[in-house]
Order: sequence, then C-alpha cells, then structure tokens
Amino acid sequence: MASSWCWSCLSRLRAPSTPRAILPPQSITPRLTTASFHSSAVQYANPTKKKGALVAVKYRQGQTLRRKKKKTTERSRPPAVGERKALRKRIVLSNPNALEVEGMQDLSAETMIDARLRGSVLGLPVPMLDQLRAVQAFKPKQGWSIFRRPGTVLRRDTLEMARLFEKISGEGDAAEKGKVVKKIITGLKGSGKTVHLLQAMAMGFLKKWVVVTVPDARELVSGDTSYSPIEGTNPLQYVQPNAVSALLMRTVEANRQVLSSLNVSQKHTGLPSLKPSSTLEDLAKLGFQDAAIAWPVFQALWTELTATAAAPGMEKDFKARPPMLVTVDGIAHWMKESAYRASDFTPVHAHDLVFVKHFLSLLQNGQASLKNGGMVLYATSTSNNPSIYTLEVALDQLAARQAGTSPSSPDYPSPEAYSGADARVLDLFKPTTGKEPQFELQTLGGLTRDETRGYLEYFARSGLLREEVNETWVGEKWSLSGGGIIGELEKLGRHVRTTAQTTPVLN
Amino acid sequence: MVFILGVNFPERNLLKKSLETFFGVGGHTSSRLLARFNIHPTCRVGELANKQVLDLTAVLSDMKIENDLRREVLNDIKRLKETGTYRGRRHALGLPVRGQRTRTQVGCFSFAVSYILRLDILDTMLGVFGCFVDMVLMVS
Amino acid sequence: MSPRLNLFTANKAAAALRQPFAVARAQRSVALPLLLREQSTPVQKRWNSSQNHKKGLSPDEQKFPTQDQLGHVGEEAAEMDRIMHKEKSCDGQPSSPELEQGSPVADILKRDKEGLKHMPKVMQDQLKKSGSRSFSTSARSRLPELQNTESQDEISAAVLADMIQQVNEQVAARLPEGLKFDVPVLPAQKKTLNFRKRYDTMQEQFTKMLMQDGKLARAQKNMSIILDHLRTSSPPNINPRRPLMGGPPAPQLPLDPVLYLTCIIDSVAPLFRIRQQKGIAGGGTAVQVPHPLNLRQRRRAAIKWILDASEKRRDAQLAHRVANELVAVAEGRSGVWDRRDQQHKIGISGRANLGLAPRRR
Repeated sequence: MASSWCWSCLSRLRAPSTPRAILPPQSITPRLTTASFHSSAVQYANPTKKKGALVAVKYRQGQTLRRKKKKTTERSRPPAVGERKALRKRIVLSNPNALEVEGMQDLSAETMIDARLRGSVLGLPVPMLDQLRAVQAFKPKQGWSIFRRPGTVLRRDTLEMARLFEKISGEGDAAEKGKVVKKIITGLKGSGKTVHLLQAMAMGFLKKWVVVTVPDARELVSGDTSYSPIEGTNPLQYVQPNAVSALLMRTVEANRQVLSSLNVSQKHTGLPSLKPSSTLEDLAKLGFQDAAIAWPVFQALWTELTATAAAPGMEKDFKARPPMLVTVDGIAHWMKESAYRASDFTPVHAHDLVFVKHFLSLLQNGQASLKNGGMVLYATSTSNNPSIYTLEVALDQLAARQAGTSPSSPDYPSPEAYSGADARVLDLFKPTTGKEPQFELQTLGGLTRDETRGYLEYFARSGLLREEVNETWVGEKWSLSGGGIIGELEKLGRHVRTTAQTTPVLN
Repeated sequence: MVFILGVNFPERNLLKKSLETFFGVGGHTSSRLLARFNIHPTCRVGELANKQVLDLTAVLSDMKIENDLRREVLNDIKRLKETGTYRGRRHALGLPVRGQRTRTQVGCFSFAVSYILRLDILDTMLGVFGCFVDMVLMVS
Repeated sequence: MSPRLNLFTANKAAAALRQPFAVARAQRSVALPLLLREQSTPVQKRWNSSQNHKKGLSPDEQKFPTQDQLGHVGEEAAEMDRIMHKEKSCDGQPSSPELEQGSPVADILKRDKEGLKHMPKVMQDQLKKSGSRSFSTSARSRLPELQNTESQDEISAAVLADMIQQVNEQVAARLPEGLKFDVPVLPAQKKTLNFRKRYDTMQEQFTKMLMQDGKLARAQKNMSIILDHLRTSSPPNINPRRPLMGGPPAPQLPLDPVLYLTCIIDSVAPLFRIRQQKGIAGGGTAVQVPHPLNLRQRRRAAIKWILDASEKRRDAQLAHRVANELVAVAEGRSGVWDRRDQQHKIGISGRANLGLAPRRR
C-alpha cells in the first residue's frame, strides 16, 4: 500500500531545511555583484554602495555634530576653612614697588596741628601701625596696598579734630582738660568717614589716650556672636560675652603701654580673682581669658579708666587716668531690631543689648561717664548700610538744632504720621539736659582744591599717576570726583589712564 | 562631635541646619528652638555649652519627631485607606491625592510614589523592630 | 630712565610724523598769546576776508584748549639723546615721576653740564637774562601762562619780534593760497589726549576676553584685581632667553601695570596663525600655511593662550589665576612661550607653501 505521503511532498518537506542549515544566513555574507568566478578576493571588490549610507541613524539620535564639551579642570581641594575669609579680610599696608615719597612727614603731635601742612599727606608712624591694626582701623578696600606706606591727608576736618585733641589733653592755649566732645560723623559715600576715625585713633595713640573702638557695629547685631539674658533686668537685656571679650582684647592689644602703667584703684566685688596690686592690663586680661566674666570685667575696666580718685585705702599708686577716645563705625545698625530673638521669639531691639546700650548712652551722658574727658566719635557708614527712616529724621533734627531751629518751631523736622518711627531712636537723639554738652553732627564733604592737589601729588610722587599735576588737571579731577570726594579721587588717582596711542594702521 | 538626641554632629556644622536634619524639625521650629534657649542663629554645634545640649535634647525628646512622626503619618494614611475614602484610594494607587491633574505631567508623582513606598518599607521595618523588641523583652 | 618716560612726548612725535601739518599748527600756537594781544595779525587778516574773525584763532584752537601740544624740537632731541646714550648706565632703579614727565629742556640742562655748553644760542641768551622766562619752551606748561597775561609785558621786544616773524613765515608757508574761509579741520586732526575711551585698547580687549556670560562689570573688576596684582607683586626676573619686547627695564614695570600687561601680551603674541589649507598638495591632504595676523588678532591669540593656561592653576579666584599666569609669562616660566615657539616653528616650515595657490577645478 502506498503511504499517504507522496514523494513530491516528502521532497518538499526536506527541501527548505537542509541547505539553510548549512549555509550561513544570507545577510551576513557580502553580496557579490561580480561573477562568482572572479579571481580577486571578496573584500577587495568594489562595494556598490558607500559605506556611510549603510549606517542607519539610530532611534532618537541627534544628527547634529556633537562637539566635545570643555572639560573643567579639577581643583582637587577647596581652600581650607577660613582661608577665603582671611583672604577677603586681608589688609596689606605696603607696596614695595611704589616709590618712597621724599619728604613725607609723619603724623606727630606737632605736624597734626600744623595748618601749613594742610593738604599734604602725612604718613602714619610705623610703630603705631600695629596698634591701628589691633583696633581694626584699616578696612580691606581702602587702597592702602598700593602705596609704599600708609598715609592720610591732613584736611580741614583733621586739623580741627587735632586741635580738639590738644585742647582735651590739656595742652596748647585754650586747654579744656576733662572736656568731652561728642560727634556723629556723616557724609557721602567715599567722603572719608572711616579714615577720619582712623586719624582720630592715630591722634589718640599719639596723645597716649585710651582708645576703645567698635570697628564694625554690624557684628554686634547680626546675630553672629553669642548672647545671653541678664537676669532681673526689665525690659530684659542681653549681654554678648564673646563680643565684649573681643573688645577687651582689642583694647589691651592697642593700649598695652598705657594700661600696663595704671594700677587698679577701686574695689571690684564681682571679681574675686583680681589682686589689689594688679595693673589694668591684668584686669582686662581676665575678661578675654574667660568670656563668661567679660562683661563685669569691662565694667570694672570702665570704672577704673573713668575714675578721678582712688577708693579709700587704695591711694598708694594712683595715677591720673588719661582721656578716652571712643569710636564706633556704622552706627545705623544699632538703630533697629537685631537678628537676635527673645525666648518668646520676638526680635530683640539693638538698644536692649547691653554692650550697644553702654556705648549709645555716652551720647546722652558722655560727660558724666567720661570724667577724665575724651572724645566720642560715632560714624555712619554708606556701605552695607541699613536704611532707617527714624535715624534719618533724628539726624535731620540734630542738623536743624545745630542750625538754630528750636524744637518747638514748625520747621523742626519730625517723623511723618503712620511712618512707624522708632521712639527709642528718637529718644536717643533728643537734646541733652543739664550740664551735659550737646552732641554735634559733623558732615564730611569733599576736599578743597588745594587739598585735592596735595592728595593727587601724593599719587604722582608715589609713581602711580603719570600725569602732570597742574591746576587745570586738578580742577578737572576735582569736578569729576563730585567736588573732591576723596574716595572718588582715589579711584581717579589709581586709574591707569589711556594714553592716546596712535593705533598702528592696519590694512 | 556632639551628641544631640542620639545623633552625632560634627562640631563645624551649623546648629540650625543640624537640628533640621531631624524629621519633623524645619526652619520654623529650629529657629524657635534656638530663640528659646538664647542661642544665636549662626551658632556652630561645637560652640554649645553642655547645658544647652542637654536642654535641646530634652525638648527634642518631648517633641513628636522622627519615627513617631513618621508612624503617625503612616497611620493617618492607613486610616484613610481602611475607611475607603477617595484620598485613601489615591494613596493606595500612588496617584495624586489632592486633586491635581493627571492628564499630563504625571512624571512628578513618581517621587511621591517612591516616598510612599519608602514609608511602607519603613513601616514593615518598624514592625519587625517592634517584634524584635518584644522578643527581647520576653526573653529577658 | 626708560623709554616709558616720554610716552607722552613720544606720542606727539608719532603724531607729528603722521601729520606734518600739525607741526606748523603747534608752533604757531606758541606765539598764540601774542596773537591774542596784538589783535592785528597780518597773516590772519590776509586770509580771512570776514570781519567776524577778529580773534585770529583758527576754530580748532578755540575748541581744544587742551589739545595735544607738541614739545619743542630741541626738547625732543635732548630727551632722545638722553635716552639713547645716558641711559646705558641705568642701574634699573625706578626714578621719580617728576623726572618722568617730559621735562623742559632747562631741567635737563641743569643736570647736564656738558649740554649747557652746547646749547642753542637763543637759550644761552635767555639764561643770561636772569632766568625769569615769561614763556616756556615747553608747549605743555604753556597753559597756566595763558591765564596770567600780565607776564607778557616782560617779553623782550627782540624775542617778540623774532617769534612773530617766525610764526608769520610758517603760516604763510603752510596755508594754501586762495582760501576764503578758515582751513577746515579734518576729524583726524581733532584727536586729542582726551578722547572718549576710558580704558586702554589693550586693557579693553583683555577685559572683554576675560568676560564670562556677558558680565562686563565683573570682568572689569577682575581686570582691576589683575592690574593691582601686577602693580604690587615684585618685579619679574626676566629670563634672558625670553625677554619682554620693548618697555622699560623690569624693575620699573610694576609702576605702570597697563604697560606691563601690554609688554607681556605683545611679547608672547604669535606673528601668524597656521591655516590648514586643503587642495594645494592634492589628494585631500591639508597643508599648513602661515597666515599673518594684525596686531589685534595677535593679541587675541596671546590672551587666549594665557587664559587657557591659567585654567590649570590652583588659585581659587579667576583674577588671581590669570594674574599669576601673567607674571609667569613675564618671567618666561609659562607654557605659553612654548606654544608660541611651536607655532612659529610650524610656520617657518610651512613657508614653502605660501606661494602655492589652491588648485581650482
């Protein structure tokens, strides 16, 4: 019997399976277009299509040219902690490349009151630089670093201040020993307020005063230093132990000579570790060794420095105390609420910080507090400055009083209704009563043309300025700087001016 | 290194940021905590006095933070699921719960989903840990 | 002293070379106060038929009182002489800037006893006349004198007459005949020192290349940091194999940071770029052909190299990185020099390909 499969069917079954299994798949072998008996090897044969056309574009692949990205070089480690800040705050006081200005005089007790030297630049005495650094009188962006040695212009305001220093020190013709002069220094940006303070400090050091400074008022209210409440005060006040400790350190560093020559003359019950025979330097050192007692130490130091006579039983080696110079820079920060919070999360007003309150109270009772006389200079700042409406009004009021407007007259400036003026600030700037002398407002303006000339000549003589300093040129710069604003003059002086170069003719 | 509520913090770190690493303590709570103990806002962990550390730890341990808070959140979600509310369903599906659009931009929810998943894993882990503690207690 | 000392005067000299007319103008202006006083200048009258032009000032004189005045010819010569011969013994110490200003001849003669003997007769005459000159031989210091006219009375008649004659001759020689109005002032002649550019060309180009993300103010701030760094860092120890082109001796460089910068950039600037030219040699191979660059392009190449090299430095701030790299270039330590040498080597070997024009189909 024949099977149900016919041969043809069988062959059909077999036909596709055998050859396909043996031969490699067709797609892998290159297609030969030439005759199979061609003698050249397969790979040398000309391909019919170009290779590039065969490469298929992948799905979602861009067809644009992709360029290599620029590699950022790896800087292995970031700078160490605090290094950047140190670099930012670095103060360079000398440029060895600048020329030594011949015949430049130093600031001294004689030169600072010499009106003939007005408009010339007086160098700061080299031994004093350490003291000035200690009280942080120099600020990083003041351009000290381009001159051979630091110097300041003897301008009109400086001369006036120098005369005051002489007066209070009890020298000269119109000596008023024990007097206290209180000033608030304002002025446009770059008008030299901070340098004015620096000059005051330099004079204070020259006259052997005790110099107490707050170089940046902002540090006390920006919430960057520790604070703790003082029990039993109402309203609650706060003490900043680390800030006080830093202040003591600055004061000791700068006034070491004076402080070490004075002995403790009062009884300080709060400081049992203090020996009766120790100097004021030892007293202050107690404070910065232990921040916890810094505030009592500061108070003790203050009473010592302002004492006129020794306590009974301690008169043995009492020396008369020198006058004091108190300076604060950037006072506007102290006229608002600080970044600190009370324990119920309400903001603490700057006047509730006992450190700030102590210094601000000198405006109202400076004469009573500084019994040995001295000077209180508080400067506003125009860089990193909070805008405080009440302070503006208060300063306007002060200016009006100085101009002779009575506080009861309608011209007397007063804060606008609903402006939310700060009563505590207005209170601080109200006229003083009793024997207390009034505090003054001193507005620094520009230099005069002569002073400008002296200042710019200093640049030229230091080799920084390559111009002929003559009347016309000085006049031009004086006008350009907004009427002799010294900060602007400095920019003009250090600016390397283009010389009208004949640019080579290029074809 | 300073120990606050069982966690070690490097001395250089800001205290405010360190407190905010606890689950349940944000900017608001941390600044209030600082104000409560008269600590200045830029205080570093290393500057703290011992007493302040203890105070902070005491207050933090009274607050509902970290695992307690996480468990509470999970329990709330679980309750929603069990009562069969719409929100519970959305939670279960891993879809937006608060009426957001799902027609577009659903990609953002992947984060939320993964977060829920993490919470779930945490839940199981807490459960296991709880059993473990029970066992230990039983043994001892 | 250095060549830098007389950049001002050098500028003037260059200007004088370019514009021969300017010489006459400036010399005429020496006698300008005289013209003002005299009120009657035959020359001016001759050429100005209009009666309104009584003042005798050409319009360009009125407009630009601070115009770049040329120094006296004698001053130029003396200064050049001093630079060329006396400065050989310069010990490299920076000198005071008063000396660096283009100083009047009298100052130079004061120091130079030998020159005193050989100075021009006119000056010897003046020296005998008790010194108080009422006019200056230096054109630049003329300005204050313009203001106080009283001193004019002291001028001796002979000198006055001489000057007027001189001026007249020169004006007559220079003015083209037949003009009804004043000679027009071309814009090229108006160029003064006070042209309206704040920064030096070089400095501006560098600043713009320093700029990132279009923040020009930041770039300018960085530039000023760089310049201050150059100003305050110690003078470069110049590698004798890689000297800086032009400029004063190294110890004086920090005093003029812009010049310092210019010296550095110009010294490492390549003279040409290498063009990869296809189709010369055939077969699709590119051939390296040097292609000359103009000044601005050369500087651009150099600045780019310096900025690239500064990327590898470790300093945190961009300005410090660049400034340090610049000092490294000045001292010949930088890799930028190698890059330039390499470029020049390729260029020299590729000189042969210069003549070949690209083959066209």
